[in-house]
Amino acid sequence: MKIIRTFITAIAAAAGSLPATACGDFLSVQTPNVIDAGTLDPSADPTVLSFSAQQNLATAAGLANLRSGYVVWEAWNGFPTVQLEDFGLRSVAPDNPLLSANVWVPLSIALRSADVAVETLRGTAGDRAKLEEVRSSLIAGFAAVYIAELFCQGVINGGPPLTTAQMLDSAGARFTDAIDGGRALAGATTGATQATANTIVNAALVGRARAHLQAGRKAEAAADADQVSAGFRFDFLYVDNPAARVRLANPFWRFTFDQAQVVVAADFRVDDPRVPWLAPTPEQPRANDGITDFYQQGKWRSYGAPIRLASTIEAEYIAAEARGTADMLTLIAAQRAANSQPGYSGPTDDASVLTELMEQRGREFYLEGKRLGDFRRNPDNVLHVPAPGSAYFKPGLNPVGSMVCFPIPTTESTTNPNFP
Amino acid sequence: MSRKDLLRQSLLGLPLIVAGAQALAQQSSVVPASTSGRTLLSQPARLTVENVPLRIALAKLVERSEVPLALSPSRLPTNISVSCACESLTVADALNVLLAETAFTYREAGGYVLLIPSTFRRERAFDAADAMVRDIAEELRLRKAAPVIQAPYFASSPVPRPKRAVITGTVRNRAGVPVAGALISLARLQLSAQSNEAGVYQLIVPEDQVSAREDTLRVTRIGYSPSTVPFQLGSATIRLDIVINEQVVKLDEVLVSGTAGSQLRRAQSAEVATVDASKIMRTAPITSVSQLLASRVAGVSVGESNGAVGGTTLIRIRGVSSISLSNEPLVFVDGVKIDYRHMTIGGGTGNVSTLSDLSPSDIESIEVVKGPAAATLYGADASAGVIQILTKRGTLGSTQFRQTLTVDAAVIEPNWTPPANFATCGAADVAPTSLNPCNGLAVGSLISDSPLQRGNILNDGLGRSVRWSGRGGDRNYGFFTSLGYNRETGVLPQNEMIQSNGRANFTFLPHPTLNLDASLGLTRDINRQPQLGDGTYSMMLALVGNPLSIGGAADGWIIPGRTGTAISNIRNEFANVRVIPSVKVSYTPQRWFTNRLTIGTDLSRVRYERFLPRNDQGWYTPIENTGFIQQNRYAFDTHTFDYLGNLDHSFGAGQDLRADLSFGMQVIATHVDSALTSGTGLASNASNVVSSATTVNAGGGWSDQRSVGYFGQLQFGYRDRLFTQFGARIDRNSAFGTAAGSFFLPKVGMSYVVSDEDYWQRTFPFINTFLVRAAYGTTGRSPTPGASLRTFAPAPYVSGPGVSAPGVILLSPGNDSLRAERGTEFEAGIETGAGDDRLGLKLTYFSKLTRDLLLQSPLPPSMGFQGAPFVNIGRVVNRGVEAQLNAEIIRMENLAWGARLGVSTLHNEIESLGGLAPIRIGIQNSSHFRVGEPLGVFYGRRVVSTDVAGGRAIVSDTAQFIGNSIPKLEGNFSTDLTLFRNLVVSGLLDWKRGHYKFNLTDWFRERASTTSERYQKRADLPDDQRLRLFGPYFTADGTAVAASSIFEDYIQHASFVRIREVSVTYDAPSRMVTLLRANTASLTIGVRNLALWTDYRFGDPESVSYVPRDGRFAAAEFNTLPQTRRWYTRVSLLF
Repeated sequence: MKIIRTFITAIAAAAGSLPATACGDFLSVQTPNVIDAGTLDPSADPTVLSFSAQQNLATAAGLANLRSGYVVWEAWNGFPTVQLEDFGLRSVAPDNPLLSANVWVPLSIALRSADVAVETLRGTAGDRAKLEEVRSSLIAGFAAVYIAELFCQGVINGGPPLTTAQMLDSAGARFTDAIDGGRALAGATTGATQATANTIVNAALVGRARAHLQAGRKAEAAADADQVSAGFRFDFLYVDNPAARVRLANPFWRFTFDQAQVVVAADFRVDDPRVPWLAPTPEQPRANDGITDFYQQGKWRSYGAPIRLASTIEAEYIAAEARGTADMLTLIAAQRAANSQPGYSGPTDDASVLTELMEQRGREFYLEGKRLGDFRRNPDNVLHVPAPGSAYFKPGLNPVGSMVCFPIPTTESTTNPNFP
Repeated sequence: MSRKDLLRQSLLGLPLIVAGAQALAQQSSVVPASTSGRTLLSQPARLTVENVPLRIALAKLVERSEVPLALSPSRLPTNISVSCACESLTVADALNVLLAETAFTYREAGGYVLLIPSTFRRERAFDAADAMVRDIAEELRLRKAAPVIQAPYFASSPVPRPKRAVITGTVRNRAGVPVAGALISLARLQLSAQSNEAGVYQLIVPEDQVSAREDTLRVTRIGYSPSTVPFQLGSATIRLDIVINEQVVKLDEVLVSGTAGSQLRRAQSAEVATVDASKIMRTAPITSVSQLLASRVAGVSVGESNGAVGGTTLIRIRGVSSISLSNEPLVFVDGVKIDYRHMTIGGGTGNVSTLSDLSPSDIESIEVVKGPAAATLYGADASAGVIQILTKRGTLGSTQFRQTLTVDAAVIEPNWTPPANFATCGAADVAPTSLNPCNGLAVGSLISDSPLQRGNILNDGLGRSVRWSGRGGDRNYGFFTSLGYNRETGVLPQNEMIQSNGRANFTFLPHPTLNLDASLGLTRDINRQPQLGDGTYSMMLALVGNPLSIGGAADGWIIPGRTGTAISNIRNEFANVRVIPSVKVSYTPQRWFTNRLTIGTDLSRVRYERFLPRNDQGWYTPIENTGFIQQNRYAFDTHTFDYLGNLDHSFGAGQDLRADLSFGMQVIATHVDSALTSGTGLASNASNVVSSATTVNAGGGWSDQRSVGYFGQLQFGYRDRLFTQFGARIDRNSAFGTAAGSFFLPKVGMSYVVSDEDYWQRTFPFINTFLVRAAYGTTGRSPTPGASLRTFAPAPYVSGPGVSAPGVILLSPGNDSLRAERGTEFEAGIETGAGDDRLGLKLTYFSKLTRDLLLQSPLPPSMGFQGAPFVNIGRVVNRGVEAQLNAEIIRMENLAWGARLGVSTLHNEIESLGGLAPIRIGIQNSSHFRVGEPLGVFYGRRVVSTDVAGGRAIVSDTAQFIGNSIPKLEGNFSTDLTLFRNLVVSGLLDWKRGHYKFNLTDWFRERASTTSERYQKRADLPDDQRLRLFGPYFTADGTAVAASSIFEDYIQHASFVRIREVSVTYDAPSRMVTLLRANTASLTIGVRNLALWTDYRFGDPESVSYVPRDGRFAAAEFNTLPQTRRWYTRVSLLF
């Protein structure tokens, strides 16, 4: 009994002394599943923030290209989800969860993370830090352009709703930062840093030209487009990493290969190398919904296939559209010839030529996320977008609606105190 | 001379008796009645004698039981008279009674029961006696006569007169049914014993404590009125058969969960409900802890997620109050906190709960601590209530060992006819070349199909289980052990649950001041869940298939290739090995000073595997068709250290005032570890491990959460009828970081047994019991580890062609000032009993205010954070009334009828969101959180009118209120009818009212796949109705609204009334029991989910597919499997 009493007393004493001696240590735990912001030093490796932001946009842009492509009927949805049908029906409501999850949230994260990278890296010494700051400005600019073109309004960092014009201006300002910073850096450095800085400058020029054109500032658009170097191209890179396919893989291939979802719309099943597609196979005649014939997109055929973000050819299209009919006809002719198409023989009035330019542009940038912007800019000249009230390609559903841009999702409007 | 010769000589030379030997010798067989070592002693005694000489009693025992006894009558004491009401006892029990006052014991050997002196304990003596008896048996066989037998070894020294006292008898209820688990105590000597399943108890008073005096035996049992039996103590066998009354108001029930200090219910200022698990398990078709709790306690809501075996359940106590944190109670087993979580498996296909690991057969009772007023002692994480599971213990204080064998068998019926899919034949479909059922029909014909039925996919399941338990003890120790095996197959393919579990509880009383309790619970579960839910591999996709695809790759399902065969080949297996060891030390160095220390651990090792076999049929995605295997490993460790000390002192001349000072600390530490792996590309399905995969993916992590709490309570009790409590607890939790302050939890309460006052019985003689109580208390709820930090999440980026690198993404802005959610509750109630305590009413009003609501406030996505930070904001109130009416309507010897009615109401309202705009989550943002309304109400655009001429329906401009998701009223009614002591008919009916559920299945069938019968026949509907249901929809200003945004018709009343349980239990008569060589035997036939009444239009109003894990409120179902019906048979034998 004495031993037992001693044992009990010892435990009681230990329990009693615990609060005084060990409570603080006991309650100090690690949380390794998240990264404490205090443990991250962006100045030690400036690429972490900037490349992460770039990847955020690569992921977001892929999804935005796809979902906006459903709206303008570049592609048909072959997946049995009610909310996805609303994209093709041009009836995307603010409470559509896929509008938020697939388009608004990823683009917002891309924009904000790029802005945070700029804020963090600004003032950090060293060419590397400056280069990543410039890259981040470029990414922020494109994220803002995407939001401006796809959404009827925009929001930056929890601020008030902005008009499309304001969003385009915001994008322009970020591109200007990238251009100015990039040029300064290119002038002060050599080798890889200089080359990268020049690439960023070219991409930013394309981006700013795109923003000017969408805003109706054609002269500025043409001026920026003219400065883009020949043969330039800036791609989003993807890899086949099974551990992170949602983030790192080409989303079109993921949605095509994994989900049998992306169906080339009937009007784009044309004989043009810019719009490659595959006919349904006996092994997989239907898309995932079991209804739609599975015409697969053939533009990207692997998880690691890159997606173009900005290029000289886009600058040429921008410049042509900005300058007018004659330049358009020149570009049309060149592009038709380059892509095994017969010469343009249609009417040469301004509207017809613009329509033809939009057609060529639509094929050139098929599913690259530009066509909804084209449609908003030139609603009468972009073909194949079903008119309001026309029948949906799947039977039984309501007629197509009249939406021309995405509404701000309720996930933003109901959480942002700046919204009425 | 050999020993045999010596024996024979002695046999022939002395005048002795052999009882029963003649009968044995006359049997045609020469083999003794039994060669088993136990069977003779376990035969029924069928003996009733009163005050007869011991020899006569033994002779009658032989005559009545037909069990041969071998003994030396000359050595039997002649001056002892005995009594024994041993009709239902075994021979062993009867001998315990008859020989209690002698120095004889017994032993079965050689086909006899041999009576030997107690001093013959040495093994050699037994061996010699055994050999002797065998010889005697042989002699009898040869002579076929009835010799007299004497065991010469017995004729040694005179038998010393015994001095110990044996108190024995049976405990029965008024209807004559034995009561198991009753605690019989002799308080003065600190002796106690428990009745076994036959109601028999035995209490031995050691010789040094025996003195001739008046004494009192006290009998207590949960659910029964305590009873005291005066008797004359002396060194004799004392037979005391006790009848106890079922109690409807249980003020003297002992509770372990509600408060420190006095643990009697009468001292509880807040409601602590008790579920008598062992009693319920005797008759009800229960297979899980959740079912034990369901519809038995007012204010406790248990919801089944779906009809798959092994599926999870949701437990809510007094509604929900937290928006972002779990609303599920803490669960303790014998004072040790256990891990209770829902795990999503099968890519979202279903959820399993770790609570299902516990075997309900091992549970003695469950205590439910409902709210902050009672849960203060459980700290800053107990705001949603506490469930304390108390397992069965050994029979400390009495020498006995009983074994129970229970065998269950069940047939599980789908209890549901899946709705058919409809389609209209087009021109191509009716062509002669068409493979689908339209072939040969007219264009426009309507065809239908049900893939689940056509493919015979929905079938009856089976349940079978076997369980053994042993329970016993002696004067200073007791033990309970159990082993069980349970296997159930569900109604869908790949749904199976295999459980093996065991428990060993050991109680040791080395000294009257020290009690050691050691427990070990072991479980091994294998839980295979079918493919359900909203994934593209869901078996329920059959409900949205298209008959036009019959004959094609989809074959009536929705996705080509993904038919029932493909989905049936997917395996989701959740396996858990769980060990719950615990030690509890109770030390009472002085009568006024008690200490209790509990140390325990819950260790779970979970293996989760998901396997999609390699196939050439194109069942899955192209990658998965090469074979996919996912193997995750989790470790969930929860450690509990709990100390409680109590000092008490009585004051005043009459010792009327008693003060209890309780104090203690509680430390809980949780560690979660995970290793996640998956791979694609298997060479062979036989080698389905990740390391065999071509492409491998891996991840993992761990987290810790710790809390420390110190508490103290001062309780005053006046004349054991008026109690006041003042308590406080200080808590700290690692979730808030070490810099955060402590969390103070006060408590105050009182209870008053007014009916104990003299004037009461004079004034209200018909009201036997009346207690009033009131309590106010605070507790809280903590977020997950790291919630207060500003964080990034790991997110890789592509750094170059084919190369990825580690990156980050903004996760949470953090919150330095985060503190625990604080729930304060006031509750008040009465407990009253009337009509000789046969009618009881318990009425409780509660009002709980949760403030500093830990809200995972959704940030505007434009701020770029992927997660939402926790903020302390807003208030939620829960108010309600709980009523429990118990009645013993008939209480006669051969007829007893009892009934219980429980009703609870709930008013749930958000008082403040701290200025935030309404929060909208869930499908179509249909679940809203708005000031002035309950949590998670359904909102959506409503159809306000139709424009038949224009062919359109007009909908509201904005979302409007549709209905509550939380029931406003819940109730249950149960009844037991006992006939002729051995037939019990039980039933349980329950209901929930005032809530809605989102029927997403029909929403999808009519908004996307358009294959419902109603949709396909929409042309037959009146224009107004068709437009309302199917649109097209426009606002009043002509703006088109997507049909998917109009879901008013799919948010449906989910009120229901269900006959939950019906069972009949028959206790076999003693003759039949004898044939089974058992002490008691019972047969139960029952059914679960017998009938349902509801307006809900799809399957089952209770099934939900979106299981709340973090406080989500989506009361929605998409492609769930409705509850099954279970026909059930149980045979239970007590040895």
